This record gives sequence, C-alpha cells and structure tokens, in this order.
Amino acid sequence: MRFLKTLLAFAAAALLLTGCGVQSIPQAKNDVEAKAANLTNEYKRRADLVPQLIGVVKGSSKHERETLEAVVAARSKATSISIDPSKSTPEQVKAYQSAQGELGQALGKLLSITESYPNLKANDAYRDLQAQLEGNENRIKIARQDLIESIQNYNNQVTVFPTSLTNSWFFHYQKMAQWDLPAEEKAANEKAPEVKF
Amino acid sequence: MRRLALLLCLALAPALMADGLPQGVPSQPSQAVTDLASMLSADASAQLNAALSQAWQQGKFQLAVLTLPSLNGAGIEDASIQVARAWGLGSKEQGNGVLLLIAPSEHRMRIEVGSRLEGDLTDAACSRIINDVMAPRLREGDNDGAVLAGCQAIAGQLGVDLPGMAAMARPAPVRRVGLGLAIKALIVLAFLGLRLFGGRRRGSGLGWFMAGTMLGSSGSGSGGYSGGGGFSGGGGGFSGGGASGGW
Repeated sequence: MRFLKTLLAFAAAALLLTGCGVQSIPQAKNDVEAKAANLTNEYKRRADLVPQLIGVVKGSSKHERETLEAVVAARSKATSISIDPSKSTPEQVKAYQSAQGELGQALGKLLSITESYPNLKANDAYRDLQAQLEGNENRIKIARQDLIESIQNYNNQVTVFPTSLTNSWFFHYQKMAQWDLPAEEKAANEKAPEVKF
Repeated sequence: MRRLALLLCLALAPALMADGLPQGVPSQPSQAVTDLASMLSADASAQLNAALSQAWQQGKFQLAVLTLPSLNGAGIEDASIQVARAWGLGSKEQGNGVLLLIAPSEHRMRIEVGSRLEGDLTDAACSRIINDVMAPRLREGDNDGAVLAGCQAIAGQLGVDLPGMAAMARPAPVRRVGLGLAIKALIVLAFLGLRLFGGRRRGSGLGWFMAGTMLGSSGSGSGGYSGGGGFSGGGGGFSGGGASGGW
C-alpha cells in the first residue's frame, strides 16, 4: 500500500514537473548551444572560402589591391575572436558580431567589384566560388535568425513564470546575451522596398 | 456552447495560422507543382506532378515547384525558406526536400535545398542549374522547358532520372503540339483523375484520423505519404542551402 502511494506520488510529481521547466529549460539551453555551433560553423566556412576567392581574384584583377587587403585584414580579425554564447557578455557578442559583419561587408564589396571583370565572370572557378559565398551568406543569415529565436525561447524559460521558479530552485541559469542584427542589415530592413516598373 | 466554440477555435488556431507564408500559398502543397503565377501549361504541370510524386513515393527526394505572382517586396531567399520550412519538404530523417521557387514578375528564382542534400546538390551546382539550364530558357519565354529541364537537372544531380520527361526537356525543344502529345496528356490526366478519385474514396476514414493527429501534435508535419497522390511534406529541415538567380 505504502509502495503504491509513493509510486503515485512520484507519477504525480513527474507529471507536474514536466510542465514546469525541469525538462524544457535544459532543452532550451541545449538548443541554443546547437544553434550557436551551427552559426559559428557557417562563419568558419566563410573564413575558409576567403583564401580560395583571393587566389582566384588576385591573378585577374591587379588593380584591386586595397579591396583584397581589406578582406584579408577583416578575415584575420574575424577569426581571432571566438565566443561561447552561453557564457558571453553582451559586449563580447557585439564585438564578435561586428568583426563578422566587417568581413561580410568587405567580401560583398570585393564581389561587387569583381563582377565588372569579364574574364572573371567567365571563369568557372570564380562562378562556383561566388555561388558558394552567396549561399554561405544566406546560411549565416538564417542560422543567426534561428539562434536569435532560440535564445529568446531560452530567456523566456529562465525569466518567465512558472519556469522561472524551477530555474531559481534547480538550475540557477542566467539570461543569455541576445544577438542583434548588424547595423547595415537593420537599415536595409527599415528601408521601404524598392518598386520597379 | 459558446465556450466550446471558443475552445475549438483556440485548438484549431495553430493549424490555421499560415506561419507568415507569402500571400496565397497553401499551408501544405496538394501536388508537386503549385503554379500560383500560372506560368506553366497543364501538360507540363501534369508531367511534373506525376514524375515528382513518384520520386517522392519511392522515397528518393521530395521536390516541390512553386511559382508566385509577386514577392511583395520581400527577398526571394526569405520567401523560399519560409515556404520550405512551413511545408517541411523531405522526410524528417533524410532531410531530402528541395523547393524550386520562381517569381516571374520579379524575374527571380531560387533552389532551396534540404539540409541533408547539401552535399549532393551544392550551392555551386544549384547556381549552374539556375544560370545555365533555366535562365536561358526563361529568357526565351519557354517556361515549361525551363522548369522541366531544371527539375530534371536537380534530379540528375541527386542521381535520379525522372521518368517520362526526357521528351519535353530536350536542349532544343521543338515547339509543335502534335496529336501524340495531346493523347499522352489525356492519358496522364485520366490517370491522375483515377488516382485522385480512388484516394478520396479510401481516404474518408484516414482524413479524420489525420485531422486528429494534427490537432494533437499542433501540426508539426504529418509525416509519411498519404495515399492517393498527396504531396504534404514529411518534416524535413532546411538551413538555407541552395542558390538564387535571375533572368
């Protein structure tokens, strides 16, 4: 009889606790970590593509030294900063994002300049690299959106009742620093879309 | 009574909300081709529907074609990831979904590749399909040829030969609607019609069951192929792979 009662009590407790964040808070934390790993992975892929692009562009466009050097500098800056999203401060996140944003801009500039070189445009290696870099930018954008949503979910779990109670009793997790869209992307979002006829 | 109705509304809301999909896009595709911009002929759509749903039912990949009359100022990348994720193309385990999205009024198109296919259907391969296979045909106004050749190139990249489409997507399509073609189209259409009817008769019980499971799981992809030529996604994931281009 006693055994049955304990069993029932355990079952009831398990049922109650599943709705209170005992599971969902660590799950949300794991999700943030996975999404962050995904994003850093995409950033790393971009950094890996840069030397290839420079190798292809160097031979064909002798006059774009400055742009090329800007890309190289931005890349070495971006790869020198790494962060752990679950433990970093808002300042660290900001520094990381701005370094990556600079590399993105420098690359965008290089690609838009090389667009006007006919011998490059006809070069298969260049075209494939261009497609890879564009695809990579898109992936970065989506991975970042996913991470922002995931962090928001985690922060809600940690700070909003009733899961916040569970957090303060069991886990003592802190809110994570939220990511932000880079300034140039914010400006692009706020600008009204162009209408062409 | 009113409370019950409210409760029902609340329960249905997640299923009805279209996740911010572009205007007019259904929450799940009923066939492989969703030609909202009416840029394809009935014949081409029928061929694609037959070939693509066969490929999906054989578990190879799920390729959906969507044409949009307007992007309403949004980027094609945004529209495409929204649709691909909302439809959940491909199976959950294999992530083998592909979306071919075309916006004729903006002259933009995109191939969105499911997360597990990115190794076979790389960004560079997608870009080549768009720029070398599809764009030249679209520039000439050969919409059918462009989409058929594009789908075939995508399937070829994934190591699958789409059946019954070789005739339409030859490099230089002969623009001549002969009697043979019309008869072929009729046969395909009749075949599709039969399958649809059969599915409906069979599906009356299944429909309720599926509605029930969808309510229970707040619509997170119904999984599996519904009989009778259905084309709903199986919950595959997308992380932004693929390429975009214009013509």
